[in-house]
Amino acid sequence: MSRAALILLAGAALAAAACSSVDPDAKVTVEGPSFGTQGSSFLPISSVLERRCGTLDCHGSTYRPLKIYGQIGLRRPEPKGSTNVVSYKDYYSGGSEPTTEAELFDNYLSVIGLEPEILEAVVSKKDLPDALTLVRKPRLREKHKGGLIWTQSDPGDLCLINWLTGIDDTAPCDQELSHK
Amino acid sequence: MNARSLSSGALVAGALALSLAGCGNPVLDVKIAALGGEVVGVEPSEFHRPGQPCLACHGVYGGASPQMSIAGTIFAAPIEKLPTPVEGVNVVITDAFGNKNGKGPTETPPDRKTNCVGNFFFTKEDFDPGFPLEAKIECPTKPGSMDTTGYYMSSRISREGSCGACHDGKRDQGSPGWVTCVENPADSPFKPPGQDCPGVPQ
Repeated sequence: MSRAALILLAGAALAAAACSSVDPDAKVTVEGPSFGTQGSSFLPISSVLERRCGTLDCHGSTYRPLKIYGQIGLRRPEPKGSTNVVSYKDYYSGGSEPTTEAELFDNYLSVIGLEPEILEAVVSKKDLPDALTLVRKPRLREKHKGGLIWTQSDPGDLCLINWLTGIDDTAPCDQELSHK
Repeated sequence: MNARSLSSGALVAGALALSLAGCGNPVLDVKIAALGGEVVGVEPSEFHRPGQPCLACHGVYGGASPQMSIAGTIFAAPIEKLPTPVEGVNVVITDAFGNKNGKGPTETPPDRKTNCVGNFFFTKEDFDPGFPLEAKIECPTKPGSMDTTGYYMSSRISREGSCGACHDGKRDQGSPGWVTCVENPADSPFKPPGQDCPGVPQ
């Protein structure tokens, strides 16, 4: 078969594959780590992520992946009168309105949406936590523009790992947040 | 030149053109252009462009001299338009290694005070800090006073050296607003700089 014919055949195969059998309504359900009632399980983890990752010059930037909202960083866009906010005049970056439940949930979606299939494998203990880029980047085991955030077994790292692996111990999160 | 060498030549030329075009950063170019020109009557100096993100130009990309590591402007009170600057605010930056204002953790940090337009800066030679940083401002209780009130920034600075990159304008859902010494404009004892300030248009 000539080279041109081979290229044509490959092109046709690719075109056929591109047009067939993709169900636009298909959904994959994956099991994530716990959010808890009104975010109670995720709150300590979100607080650490807000403090260590979510400043306006990093993951609190609207342009950056793994967007993190929170009281001391970027606020979730809310119109005046939104029922998600208690005191709208204090709802600004650094304002006294605490991180809202809506912000908490969006942070949860940011985290679980990064690598959902691998996350499920970690949550179901079929894979180790460091399979996740969420775990590797702050340890600088993977290129990270923000550099080293913590090393393995530091309080911030343990806070995240405990949550991902279903260990109900948030003391490392409190320890991480107690740093200046 | 045959057809093959012509097409190779065109490829090389195209690659060169692309690589040259790739040297710029269009996002930063737009940001720098949006800062506009100099105010008429104010020469480029440490007194120019208060409130703007200094490192946009005085950083690695902008290339303006001096190259700065941390720089910004401190104002009196949060209002929407460019507020009154505060002179004599001492800025204390602590880096990830405990160095303060360029000195080691056990040394006394040198003062770094704002000028009459509220500007301060550290050059790379003064202080090349390891991020993240803690920022504290020590505001005079009234103009010229040695008594100060200190305020810590509520978050760390993770990588941005310009205060004005985040502290820009009024407070909103994407910005904490200008860095200020007083919460309520009615409580501010600070007055706008006089004509003797080089940052005031002459």
